[in-house]
Amino acid sequence: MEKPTDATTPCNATDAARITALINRSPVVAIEWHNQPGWPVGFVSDGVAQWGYSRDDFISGRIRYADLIHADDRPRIELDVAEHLANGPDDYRQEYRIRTASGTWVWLDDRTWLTRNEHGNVTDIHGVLLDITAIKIAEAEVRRLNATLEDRVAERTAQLQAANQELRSFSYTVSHDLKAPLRGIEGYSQLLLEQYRDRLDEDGHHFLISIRRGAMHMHELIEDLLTYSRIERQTLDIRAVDLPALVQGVLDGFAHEIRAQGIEVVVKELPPQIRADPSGLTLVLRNLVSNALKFTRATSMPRITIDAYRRDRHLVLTVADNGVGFDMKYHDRIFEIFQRLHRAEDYPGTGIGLALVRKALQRMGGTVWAVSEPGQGATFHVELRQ
Amino acid sequence: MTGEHRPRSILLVEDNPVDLDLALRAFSRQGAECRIEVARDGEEALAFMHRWERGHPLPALVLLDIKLPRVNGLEVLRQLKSHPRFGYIPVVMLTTSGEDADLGQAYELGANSYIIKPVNFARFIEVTEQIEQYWCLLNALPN
Repeated sequence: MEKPTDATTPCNATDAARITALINRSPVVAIEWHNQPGWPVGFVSDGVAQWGYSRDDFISGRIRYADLIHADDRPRIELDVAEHLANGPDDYRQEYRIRTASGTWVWLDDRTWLTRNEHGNVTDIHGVLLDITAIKIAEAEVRRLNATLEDRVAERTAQLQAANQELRSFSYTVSHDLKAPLRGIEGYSQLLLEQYRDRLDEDGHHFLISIRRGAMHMHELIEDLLTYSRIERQTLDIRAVDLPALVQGVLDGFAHEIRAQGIEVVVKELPPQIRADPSGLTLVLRNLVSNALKFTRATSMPRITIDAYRRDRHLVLTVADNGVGFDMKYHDRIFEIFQRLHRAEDYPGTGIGLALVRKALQRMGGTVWAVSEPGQGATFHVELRQ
Repeated sequence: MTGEHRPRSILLVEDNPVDLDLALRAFSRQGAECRIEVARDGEEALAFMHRWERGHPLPALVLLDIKLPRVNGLEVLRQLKSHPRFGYIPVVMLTTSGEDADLGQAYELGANSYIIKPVNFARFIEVTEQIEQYWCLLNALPN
């Protein structure tokens, strides 16, 4: 292996000429100051021409380099140089502005090293100067953008908060102002039914029952809408959940319907513990089971199967039924609020259930999709990040 | 004890005529033993309470709607709970939603409980019965 060339190794005349040419052609300016009062310049390369000066401006002492340094930077630079001269280290780097001959300012990256005599006193200061004005401008622009970005984020956040607040007062209005007249309709129709039953003929009785059914449906709608808007505001609580117990709890809630409809419920082997928001997951399963119950009502030998499988780092829960199913061209629409594929008189509901499922899952960072065929039942897949 | 021979009363503060009428019917339907006094807004409610200074009996319970015209329910609550004599009287807030932002403030001001006005009338009757049983008949107040 060749011995690396020491920086102080003298080079021959060809090398010197080559290095001079390289430096003079490069964007850097090489400069040497004597460590004497006023820091007279002993050498400077041709590069100073880029700032409108000649080498002789400095060599002759016509221009003092220190005078070119920006007044805001000068005290800092002088202090810094004095510190390095006294205590080292002898290699250092500084950034400051100098004035060009035309009066503009350029930023310099000044890489400096010191030469000391046998007593340790600095005799010469050597510097390689590089114009970094473009970098400085870009940095300032990035800083400005960052600052305005924060402003813009703050502004957008404020807008979103205002919109959110509006939504809250909207849901409050829904609950408060829509429920008040409903209490009147429900209450008085009940009184009418109880106190005037014998004075109503069959038609009158039918009308009254229809009014009450409408009021009841309205009440369900309001409650579901409130649940829907509440999901947004609830804090997420992702933790270890006993899945079999949670599923059983949901099924227990439907025990009456399951018995009444004679539905076979099959729960396959589920992972004992998963990570989820228990109240969100309960809401999801409750709505999916309720959905399955509704659409198997006309099925002979109705069956609901709950299963789970792993997919990468996700757990997928499935709720399958053998009910009426749906055409896959509607597979996305069923999760939109107020979208229904069946006539309300055939399958009553508010059209909010599956929208609730999707929204609750979005908040948990999960997804839901359905696979079905008309008459062949439907399988809902609930994917949860683990 | 004073007033033992007189039926105890509940002060119902409600501005919505439908809610008021239904509440009165619900109380009468369940055969309430308490007399129901009515105030239609906060000012009326406070005026009713201050009749005590002229010898009128105080109610055993105040049922107070949160949203009221003129002096609102929270202000009525604040004045009742900071009064040396009225402060003992239980106040049950009436609200349409358990999520009412004012509920937290009502508790801070010393509300004893709250009920959500049920949409279902049969449920309304049950609730009025429970209110009367607990707050009006069982609950004993210092004299």
